[in-house]
Amino acid sequence: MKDALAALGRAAFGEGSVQRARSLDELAALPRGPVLVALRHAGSTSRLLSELIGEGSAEPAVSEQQALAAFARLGLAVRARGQAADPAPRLALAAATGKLLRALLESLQPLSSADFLLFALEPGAAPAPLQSTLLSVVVRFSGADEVALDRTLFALACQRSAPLELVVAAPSGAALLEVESALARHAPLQTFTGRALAADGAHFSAAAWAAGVTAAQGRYLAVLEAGDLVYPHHYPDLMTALAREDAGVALARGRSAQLGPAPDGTSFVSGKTDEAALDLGSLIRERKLTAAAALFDRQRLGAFALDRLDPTAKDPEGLLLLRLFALLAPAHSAAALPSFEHPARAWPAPARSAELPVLRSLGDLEQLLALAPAPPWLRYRVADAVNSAFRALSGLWRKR
Amino acid sequence: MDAQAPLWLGIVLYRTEPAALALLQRSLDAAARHPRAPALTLRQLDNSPPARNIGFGAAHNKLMAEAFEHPATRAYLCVNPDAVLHPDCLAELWAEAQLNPRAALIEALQHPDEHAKPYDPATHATPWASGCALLITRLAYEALGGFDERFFLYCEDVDLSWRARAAGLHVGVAPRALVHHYVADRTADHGSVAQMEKSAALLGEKVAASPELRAVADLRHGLKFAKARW
Repeated sequence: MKDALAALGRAAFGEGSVQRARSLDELAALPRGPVLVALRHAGSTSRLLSELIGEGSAEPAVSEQQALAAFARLGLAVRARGQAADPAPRLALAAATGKLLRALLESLQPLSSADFLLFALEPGAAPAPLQSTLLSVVVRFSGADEVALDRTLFALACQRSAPLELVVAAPSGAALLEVESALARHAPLQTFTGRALAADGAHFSAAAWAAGVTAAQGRYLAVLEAGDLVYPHHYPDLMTALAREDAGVALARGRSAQLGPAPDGTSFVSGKTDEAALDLGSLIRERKLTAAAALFDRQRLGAFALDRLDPTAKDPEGLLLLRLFALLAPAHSAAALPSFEHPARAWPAPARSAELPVLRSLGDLEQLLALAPAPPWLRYRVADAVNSAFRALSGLWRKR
Repeated sequence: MDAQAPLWLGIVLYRTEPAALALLQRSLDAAARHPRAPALTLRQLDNSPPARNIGFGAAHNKLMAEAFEHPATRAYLCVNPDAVLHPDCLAELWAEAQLNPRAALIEALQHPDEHAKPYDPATHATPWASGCALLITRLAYEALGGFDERFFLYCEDVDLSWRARAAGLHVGVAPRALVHHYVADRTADHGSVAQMEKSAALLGEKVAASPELRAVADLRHGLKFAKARW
């Protein structure tokens, strides 16, 4: 734990000595300035299981929410956070039982694997409370395709939910400069507020997710990748679904676009495939559910840790959604047509069921994700009807 | 905005929401500031009551006639009032029109749900071009005379495209010129359906009467007027 705390301190403040604390009381007594703190985590798996079998520890511990509230009261802002495991947890459980229970708890809340919560703190304001009507969309841009980023931002700037905050996370350097330029290009539409955010680290996707979600100020939250395109009603429909079902997360159907290079360097769409339904096969067996399908209501989700993806998982987003659905039933958009699209991707190999311990049965999850909104009388259906009449007419003309 | 500008841009309104028009106007301002965008003149014609609604094609024809009266005008761009132009749209449409000396009609690529009709990824040629954001060159205007005003709404763009192709002119897409326009989820009332049927019948009648149009028309795919890519 000491080594992990020292590493966190170096990453946050560089080399040099920084004061340290091991409890909130110690922290309150320290002079104002940068500080590293390690707190025993009340929500750790070890702690919870100890309580369960009647071996609760007398050593004081705090939840993450209690810690963050205390930092805010002390006028301290979190510069960096980390976690550490107890190298020798004592638990009077059979090994297999302990392992299964740990897996279950960690599938619901990844932070439960942390025996210690580590923070690098500095004087500063606590984060602002969530803005109750604001939609925040986090976009992750790895720097690979600036045209894809531009098209994603253009679609977002023209979608119909307001107010809208765009938080675009990219690696420092040229990619971040490109983000700033792309946001400025679409700013004249005056439909959003935007900011570029640096996200560095070995696992860009998870780092960008964490940085973006932490920085986002909206009660309503969505996460896209550069290249994803939302149609104008995507977020309004999802917000309606959240309100209708009093849900913490809502899902929409999407489609994948098969892209290939054209001779002039533009990308050419050769086909699009609608995802028929959000069924369990898509979620687990084929792992086709992307975060772009989801809109989260952070106020309703409460303490669920949306800001952490497991960067070592084959499908970090899918695991996060699965954990969430194990706790809360998602609402579904009532739109009859897919409302977003994403480039066709090479999806990760299906995970073995042992990697997905959840508290709901798979059958129960499947029912939760079943989707069957009745299509209304839409323009494309009108076109189909007129086509039939038109074909009959053209047949007559050919005979003339 | 300059009456001697090489590009005229026309918008035909019909009960357009002020917020939608303001958004289009902001997008136009941004697109016009692009360093490679041509100077342009903007004109609007409102078909809303109390004015008599003369139809989409006839209204654009009036604006087009005014535009091409000026010898400096090289092209007319019709833009739907519920569209939003990408900041690069004008520059890219203009550049695409310069690529082919037979260019007659160049449409912007609809975004975010691209139109499913095909186009050649090398030449950008397409069977027909949508009137949502359509650049009509002087060559096309002088050869074809604008839209057929018998089409009140719908199919006038397909008719113009087929007449252009029958005359040996180029009808193409500008893949880098994006226009935000999404109508797939709009509900259709009986009036729209009746109008669509009437326009489709007129188009079929014209094709049946003209061997030149028959040579380029595609009636096998119904109102898609081409084999869709998806």
